[in-house]
Amino acid sequence: MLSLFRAEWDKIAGNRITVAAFVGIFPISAFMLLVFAGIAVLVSATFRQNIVNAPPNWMEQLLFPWVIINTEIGRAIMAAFAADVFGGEYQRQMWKNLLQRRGRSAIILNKFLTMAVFVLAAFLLMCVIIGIGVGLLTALAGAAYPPALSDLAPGELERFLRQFGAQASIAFAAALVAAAYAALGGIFTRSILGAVAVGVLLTLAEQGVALVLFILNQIAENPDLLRLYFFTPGYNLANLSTWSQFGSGYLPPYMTQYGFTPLPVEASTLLVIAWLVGLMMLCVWLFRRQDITS
Amino acid sequence: MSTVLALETRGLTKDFGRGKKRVRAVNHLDLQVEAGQVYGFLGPNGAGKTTTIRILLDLVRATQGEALLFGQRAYRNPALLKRVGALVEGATFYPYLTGRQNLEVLARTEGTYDKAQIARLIERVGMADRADRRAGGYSTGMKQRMGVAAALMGQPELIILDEPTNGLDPAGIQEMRILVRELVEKDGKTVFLSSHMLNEVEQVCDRVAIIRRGEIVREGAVSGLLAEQARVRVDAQPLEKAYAILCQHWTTHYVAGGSGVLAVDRVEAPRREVSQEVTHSGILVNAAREDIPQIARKLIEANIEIFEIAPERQSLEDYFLAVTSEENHA
Ligand SMILES: Nc1ncnc2c1ncn2[C@@H]1O[C@H](COP(=O)(O)OP(=O)(O)O)[C@@H](O)[C@H]1O
Ligand SMILES: [Mg+2]
Repeated sequence: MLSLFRAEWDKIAGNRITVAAFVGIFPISAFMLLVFAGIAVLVSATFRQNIVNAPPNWMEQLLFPWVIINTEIGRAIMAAFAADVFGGEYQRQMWKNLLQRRGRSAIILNKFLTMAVFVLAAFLLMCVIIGIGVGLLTALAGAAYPPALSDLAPGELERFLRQFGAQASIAFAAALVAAAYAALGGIFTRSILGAVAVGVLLTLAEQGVALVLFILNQIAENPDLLRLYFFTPGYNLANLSTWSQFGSGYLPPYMTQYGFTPLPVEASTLLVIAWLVGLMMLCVWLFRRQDITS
Repeated sequence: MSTVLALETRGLTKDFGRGKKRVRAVNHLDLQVEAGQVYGFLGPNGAGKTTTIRILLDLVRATQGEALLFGQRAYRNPALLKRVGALVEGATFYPYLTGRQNLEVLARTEGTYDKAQIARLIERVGMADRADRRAGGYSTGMKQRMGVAAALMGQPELIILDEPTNGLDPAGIQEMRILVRELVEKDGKTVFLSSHMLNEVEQVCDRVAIIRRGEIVREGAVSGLLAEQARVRVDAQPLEKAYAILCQHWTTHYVAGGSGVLAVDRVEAPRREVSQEVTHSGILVNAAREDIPQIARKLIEANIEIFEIAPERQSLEDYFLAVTSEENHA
């Protein structure tokens, strides 16, 4: 199993252009931003003074990247990346080489795992780069980088770690959902471009669902229709992320007026898991019965 | 006969598409390949060779019938496929990885990664100096060589090669031929080799199945098929009299035009009606070289003047063309 994981990892990592475009973009853009900020610190005295007056908090800095990652755009980028992982095997006619060496279910499930671990590693790298980079900037500006470990209230570090872990888990789940959308696109269109189109479209379509339901409600005046939005992966991922950040759930503004309340963490967790299991099983089932003719 | 066949198909049938667009790629195909030989799977383009191989590898599902490897059904049996190595329809690779990295990734997929073995195989297919270049820049011939190396990874007992010499230059074809023979003679493997090139099969295979439109037209030992097809050309006077005598013993027909020759077929083959309207340049007799003295004796006894009796060397190629076209007007 480890050997299969390694095979997939090597394939993904070796595809440098795709990795740079869809995964590397996260840590790379973080790094670029830090370089610009560093230049600003060096040339601008006011900028330095601002940092000294309100020094950044390293815990906040480490959590901040997840806000970007756990968005529709972040998920669309993950879907585009997964499209190459799944659609690429069709496009490069590699299935005939792979499937004579390992069972179909094992290969496809391993793809999900490896792809998600790969993007998670990139996100962690992005957090580390930002966490350390901002620390360097504050040092350059001659400011502190609070909170010092010795100043931490009891349980504060634990709470930070739990929040960080939750955000990382949400990103992992989001990557798997994106991968499943892209995999479905790959299986149906047998090409990378098709997988990108389907993967990105399905990811963005979840927002479209909210819009369609909103319009339907305007016409039918049946607010229960709006409730359907609660069943999309996108809502539940956003809801979990909001719960973890602010201790309260997520609800689109137009839904509050009908007296809806956000789903509790447990319900969203279950729904996300149900989606993941369902989507992956669907992919495996479709893939197992497919003729590989190229 | 208690030996387990390395490869077998029973009534194997595959239809692509539905309704009016339906194409029958493989039609009730029965193959039996014993271990320890090079078995040729010969047929023109579109005959159904690749489709058969894909079914054997469980890439494509049969519409009817079954495919067996080592006596077990290949369908949804990944463990069984580990005993097989295959190159299917043109070697393909991840273009952004080197040839060696491609082999490594495939070996790891199978769980049989062995750095030294990969190096040996690269050497064996003559790619040692090019293995560390990106596969995207490989020529077709280089890809085919690497593809054969990939098929040999993980010590498979049965090696399936689908048109392995496509894109190779004459020297490469020669090397491939030697490699394939070695696999059987030195390494004790079984090779199932598809080809649309007759001379290739003739030179490297022990047995051959000739397939056309998804069906087997002939099957047998290569030497046997060639002997079955032995012919003798006869030029004699008067030709009609010679024909009348020879056709009692062998399948015989006139050769039209030219300078009076006759071909004689072996009697086992069905006799054909021969039209006599044209000027004949001779007769062709379906007979072996060993039959020439007897042919000569019969003609001399009948007072026929003989100008020439010569064995016609026929390659499997002519044979192939003959058997695949003979079904045409059926
Ligand atoms: N995916 C497919 N869809 C429709 N027809 C196909 C497909 N694959 C092969 N065929 C048809 O099946 C027949 C056999 O093809 P193939 O097995 O590739 O022949 P060969 O390998 O002997 O050249 C051909 O007529 C081909 O057009
Ligand atoms: Mg073919």
